[in-house]
Amino acid sequence: MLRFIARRLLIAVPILLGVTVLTFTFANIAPGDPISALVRPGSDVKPRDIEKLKEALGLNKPLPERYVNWLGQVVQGNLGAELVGGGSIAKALAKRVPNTIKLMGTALTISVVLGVLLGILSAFRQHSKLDNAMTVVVISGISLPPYLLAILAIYFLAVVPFQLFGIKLLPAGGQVDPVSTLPPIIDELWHLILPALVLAFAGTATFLRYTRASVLEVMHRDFVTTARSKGLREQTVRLRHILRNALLPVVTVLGLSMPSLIVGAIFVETLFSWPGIGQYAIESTREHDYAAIMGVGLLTSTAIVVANLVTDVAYAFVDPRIRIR
Amino acid sequence: MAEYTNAPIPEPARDPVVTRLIDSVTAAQVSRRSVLKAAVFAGTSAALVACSTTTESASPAATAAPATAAPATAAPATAAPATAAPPPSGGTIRMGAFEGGLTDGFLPWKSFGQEFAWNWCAQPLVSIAADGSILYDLATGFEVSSDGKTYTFSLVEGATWHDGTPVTAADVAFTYNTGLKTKAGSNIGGRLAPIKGSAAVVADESLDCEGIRVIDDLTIAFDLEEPNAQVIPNVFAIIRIAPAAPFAGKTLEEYTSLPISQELFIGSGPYKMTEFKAKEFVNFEPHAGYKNGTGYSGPPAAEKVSIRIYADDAAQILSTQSGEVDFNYVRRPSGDKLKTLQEISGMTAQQSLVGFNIFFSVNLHSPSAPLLKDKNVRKALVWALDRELLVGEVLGGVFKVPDVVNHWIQKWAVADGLETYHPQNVDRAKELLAAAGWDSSIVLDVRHYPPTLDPDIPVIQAMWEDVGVKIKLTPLPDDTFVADFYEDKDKSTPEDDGPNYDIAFVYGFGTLDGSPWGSDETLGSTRVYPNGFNSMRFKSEEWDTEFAAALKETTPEAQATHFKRCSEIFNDEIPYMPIYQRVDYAVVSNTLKGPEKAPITHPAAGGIHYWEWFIGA
Repeated sequence: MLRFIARRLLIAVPILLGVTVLTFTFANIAPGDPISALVRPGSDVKPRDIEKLKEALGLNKPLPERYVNWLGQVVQGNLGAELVGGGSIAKALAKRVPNTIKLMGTALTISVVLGVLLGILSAFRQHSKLDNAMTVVVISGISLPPYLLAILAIYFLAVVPFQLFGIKLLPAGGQVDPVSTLPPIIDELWHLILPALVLAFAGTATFLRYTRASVLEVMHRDFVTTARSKGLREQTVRLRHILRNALLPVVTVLGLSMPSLIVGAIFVETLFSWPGIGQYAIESTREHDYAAIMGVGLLTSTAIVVANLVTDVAYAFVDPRIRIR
Repeated sequence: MAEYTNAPIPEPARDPVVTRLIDSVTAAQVSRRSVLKAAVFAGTSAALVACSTTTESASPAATAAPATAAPATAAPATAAPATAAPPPSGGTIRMGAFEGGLTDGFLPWKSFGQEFAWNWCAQPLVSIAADGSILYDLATGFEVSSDGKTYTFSLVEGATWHDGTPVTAADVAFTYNTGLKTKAGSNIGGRLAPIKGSAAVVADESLDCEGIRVIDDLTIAFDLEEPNAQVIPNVFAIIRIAPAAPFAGKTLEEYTSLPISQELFIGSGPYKMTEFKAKEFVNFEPHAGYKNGTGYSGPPAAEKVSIRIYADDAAQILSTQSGEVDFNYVRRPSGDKLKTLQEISGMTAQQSLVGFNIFFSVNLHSPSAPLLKDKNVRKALVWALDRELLVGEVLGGVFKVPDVVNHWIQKWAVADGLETYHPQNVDRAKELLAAAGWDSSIVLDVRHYPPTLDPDIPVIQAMWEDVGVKIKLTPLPDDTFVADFYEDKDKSTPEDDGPNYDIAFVYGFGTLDGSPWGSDETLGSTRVYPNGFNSMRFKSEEWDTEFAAALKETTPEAQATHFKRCSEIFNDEIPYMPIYQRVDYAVVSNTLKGPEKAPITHPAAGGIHYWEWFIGA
């Protein structure tokens, strides 16, 4: 097992390097830069200052040299400073990572619990009204963009209750209400509900779909028929034979859901003014802040690599038939 | 010596400071949008408006040594009523901010995304109200020497920082000196260039500027290299003052990471910053020791102020609809969004004085059709447009047609009888084209921004075709906008070849900087990019001369003479043409009292009596 983990970690190095090269290249070849955006009539930054500023920020050096410089700093544990704001990228990320973990963690928990439960119900009642309704949920979850879903959720759960009844049912955004009289943890939980539900929606659909398919597949396997023919109670067959085997593949979905969660968080955090990594990614992109974009890219790609590794290892643990070599 | 007071100006005029602040706020977004807004024309002469009430001093001696009596003379007439009794008060004011919400901290010399909070917690020496009048903030008045080169400010006596220590002229000098030092994080060195000796400080950051002189604890003088009537709106109304003490003993490089820079700013404004979460919110509580140059003294009206910062404009509107804020400022809403804002219960959508503008800019250097250099052709292009139809029918009524050819001019600086080029006159357009010898087979290369085709552009195209002018439309991409719009089309040759289009439709927050009365940044013949923003390559010796002469004048009447001539030249030449202007909106809770006292402008604008705002019934 340890050798497997070590090998996977070694493989992760070139993967991460590849990701950083691609991110760096695409971020830099995109038109525009953080300086030219500041130059306009009335601004304190004049056109004649452009070259001086580019030099100060190292933007006039060849691309490979800039990448090597960046990589050299990263290897030493330094993500550098934001090109626009000048603050430490590591500090900015450190401040935001816990917020994103709160949001994504809550969303993932909701997705897994709801998705698996509804998937099981849907499979056991195949072709029922419930199953048909779940199909609608799956299609909506997969096809509705998180940004649109977020707007709809805010509109119907925050705007409409206030406009029609004067009730502040759920907040439209933010991590806290700056003038709240509630205990901070309650206030934050209240603000977490809506973005977490929105972010969880697509994940719930995914888990539901996988669980349903997996349960249906196992339900028709020979060993289930054998179990029934032995006269086992239906509940026992379902719990001990079907679910036990059907839920194993769902573990792999956990790892696979990480990228889509991150992408969803980018939109959800922005629209809900949730101060996490996703919001930071959007801001950095708006500002053409390559250094910050690289920091976000490195962090998220590392998170995905680690999540996949953890999933593989966890799968081996939960399914003794799997032998890692 | 001219004495300046804050007596009201009869003619309402666009606030130049507002425009400049919006630029900075917009910059904080640092997005392609910011680039687009590149047509911004800030800069101005609102001070000159204020100066219209000034009088020439009879005593040269007084010029040489500003008397202490002078500030008293300059003290505003409104001071007495303001001190008489505090207004009704109470409540927590909840504000919203989207553009400008990208700040990571507060420093007066980093003009970057901080403006949404400045008016609540910090004071400049003066600020310029929407009507062009001067609001005395940390200064009680100022005097200008007869040669126009020395500005002497008297500070409010007894003003204190939020930590209780007194505000002195040394703090003002510290702030302005630090503004010249890039190592301290400053990006406003260029703005302070008119101050004598500033270049030496920029070059050697260890120095202090010889043109910044502390006379005594309550008096500070600024010596200029040359007379420059624009320093009031462009410099003294912009720079907020910071206390020197928190920076004592620190290196310039450390300035940007100090608690005052990153955590809680210490100012002298009506509210004290009590909590700041970068890009989330800022909270304020009343500053009991608040004083300003209008004579107001004491804590401000509200019990608390909180500013939410949004990462997205949709989030801003949804939050407003959800009753989370009492005041939100929405930039350039579409017709649909405006309707949404107007329907929010318990709030009122109020038109702002500020907005952005659609204009076309002509390549006067080397257009593919040389006839474009003929001003009659340019005039014909404007006469051909039914702008009322464009504004009302095509653009949903959120724009308006400018009153004169260039609505960015302060009214006092506009010559009488300027042509409005409105309403549409197709016959006139055809006559002018015929007189110029226009050939209807010519196809003009027209670029448009934004790159998505706004609905007005095809209608304009049709209107021009009706008078015999064909165009080929090409989008200006977002991220190369600056280069495409301003730069030389052939950089391989040393000389300027002009931009790579005949006409460009763009938009910006154009107000005054590009006008003959603000700065010469967009019309001066030496201001072709990268030395300025003269995209048209407009060159008029007379315009240059008149403009330079205006800056040297010390009386508004004399300045106006030159500026009016500039406006006439512009009106006749129309190197660029504002087609229509769009207005911003403020959404104000019916319980928020205060905003109704003055015309709505951007929250970062000057001249707003924030200390009087409160939540009422």
